[in-house]
Amino acid sequence: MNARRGMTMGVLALALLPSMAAAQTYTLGGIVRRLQDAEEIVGLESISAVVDKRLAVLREFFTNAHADELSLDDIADVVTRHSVSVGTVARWDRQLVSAYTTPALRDSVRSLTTVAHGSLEAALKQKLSPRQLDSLYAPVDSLGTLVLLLAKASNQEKLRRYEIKYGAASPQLNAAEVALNYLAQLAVPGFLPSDDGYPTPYEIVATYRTTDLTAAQSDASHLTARAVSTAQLGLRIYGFGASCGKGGHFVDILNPCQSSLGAFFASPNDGALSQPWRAGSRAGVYLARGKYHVGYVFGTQQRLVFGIDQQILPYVF
Amino acid sequence: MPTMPPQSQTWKSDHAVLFVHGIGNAKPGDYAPLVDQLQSILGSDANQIAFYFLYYDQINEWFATKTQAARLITPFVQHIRSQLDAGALSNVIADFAGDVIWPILITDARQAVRAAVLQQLEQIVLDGKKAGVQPRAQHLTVIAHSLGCFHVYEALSAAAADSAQGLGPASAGVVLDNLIFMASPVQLISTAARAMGAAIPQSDTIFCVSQPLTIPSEPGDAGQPVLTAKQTVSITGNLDPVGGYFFREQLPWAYMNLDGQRSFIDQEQLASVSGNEQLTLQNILQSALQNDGPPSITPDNPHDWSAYMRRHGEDLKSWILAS
Repeated sequence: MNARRGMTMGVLALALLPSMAAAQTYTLGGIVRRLQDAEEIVGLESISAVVDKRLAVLREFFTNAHADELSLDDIADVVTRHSVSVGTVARWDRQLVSAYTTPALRDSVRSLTTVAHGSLEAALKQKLSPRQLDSLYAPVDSLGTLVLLLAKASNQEKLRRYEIKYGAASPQLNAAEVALNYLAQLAVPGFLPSDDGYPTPYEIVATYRTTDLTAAQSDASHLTARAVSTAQLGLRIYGFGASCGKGGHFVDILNPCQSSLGAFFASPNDGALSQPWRAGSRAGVYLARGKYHVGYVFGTQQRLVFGIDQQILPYVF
Repeated sequence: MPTMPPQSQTWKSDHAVLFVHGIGNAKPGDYAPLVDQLQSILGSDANQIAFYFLYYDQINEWFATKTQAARLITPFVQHIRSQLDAGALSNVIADFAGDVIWPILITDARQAVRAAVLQQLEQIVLDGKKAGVQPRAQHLTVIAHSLGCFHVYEALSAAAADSAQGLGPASAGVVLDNLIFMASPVQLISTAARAMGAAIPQSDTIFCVSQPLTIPSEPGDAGQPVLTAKQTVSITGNLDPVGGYFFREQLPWAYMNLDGQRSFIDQEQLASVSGNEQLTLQNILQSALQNDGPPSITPDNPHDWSAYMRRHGEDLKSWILAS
């Protein structure tokens, strides 16, 4: 019993050495060792056999995967599903990489932190002062901080992307587009947010523009500007790059946050406020960058058409 | 500039409280009187508590403008109306509920608000850590009202289901002292959304629809469920339609009754006009609906957040300061 007590106090003293290691030097193996130290401190009678067995299995798993030396940064990346660097993978035993995949490692790390914050931590609270516990659990707490920072950054990135897609600078949807995008979310893969909550970059475009601009030869063979009513049916794709929408005067063309492409229709004859979907309408294609678009319709009255989101006459829909 | 950066502050102790508002387009500062009210209830102890308030009006505005969300809620309102007796009060209550459940149909809106709630919770825990208080020693309380209850329920369920959020009660040791729902529409939303079935995009990502309604939890070190809060409280009023009551009658399909929650049903009173309480309630709710902004804080409104706070002042004090 004295030997056991001596070992326990030794473990405790070791755990409480001031500034045992800077956070960046903590490793996965170091966390496992701290939890084993914790088991020694509280005694096996304070925790269930299930927990003790679980910790032993995890220790064996990490050792066999040669993952003991993974840094906390690497582990936090694994936990938050960031891509693991080549260097990180290279540190694992190449023979075992396929067997010990990232999901398996993620689940094991989660299991390890669950052991850390379970009955073991509760028992330590009874045995140690808060300061002693903080010192012993410094690697566990550092990992928790890193995971929180990455998770917060991920949620911030989601909000940034949602603002690009839905914020004040994004194209407003008309009633037809609301309905089509709603139906697409119900039936078409790719129109829903990702499993981890990021917005899809895709959006259906179905719009009628009352006053696009084209040019045509007049009777006097002069090239004259004319208004033309058009309709677009296409797919808008948002770019969520960090710099999109930022820049000088030509940012909408050079670096917009969204572009679209699709079918383009013009009324049979040039003129504002006419129906582009009636018999005899001209069809073609369009490309939009930011708030600008250019379209081309084929046929006997082929036209190159320019337009912007803002219309001289208001949209009908 | 970050999009909707979370509120951050220096902790003076190990206690923090997060408020999450509900119906209405509340802007930062609109609910300052409510925080003042709780500070007054807590007395001098309030000085040591970090108070956070999550405003998500910006997200509401994005979606209201871009998707004209009102167009989508009609089927929901019709379903709720069909569950109630015919009459003007039923119509008003159905409209009131429609305000609560519109995010259900817009999956991006749900995900965006969830990200905002999670981001704020993560910032709170990080603020505590920065002050030297690890999650095991943090005393956190979340007070949500109305639609805020839904967003909090979903965010905490997501945190419990996904250890990558760093907020798991078992995997990260983040366990709230108190999770307080006031006038929760979680059951109402669950019922209405289940009735809509396949019309709800990505309904499998809505925890209160795709899974049984329970206090969020995560498997612990021996497989046992570790609840997201030591204490979960549900408070509603017997005249509050959002909280699951139709004129003093509890509606099982609308009243949230989580296994293990502490339930409080406030006996609300109306200053009736001409002796007709139903007409009075109808007028009050209609008035609240017509208010285009943060919900008006009037003593008569059975859904009023401040009235819930006032009626449970002593409870709140004992719960928040318990440890």
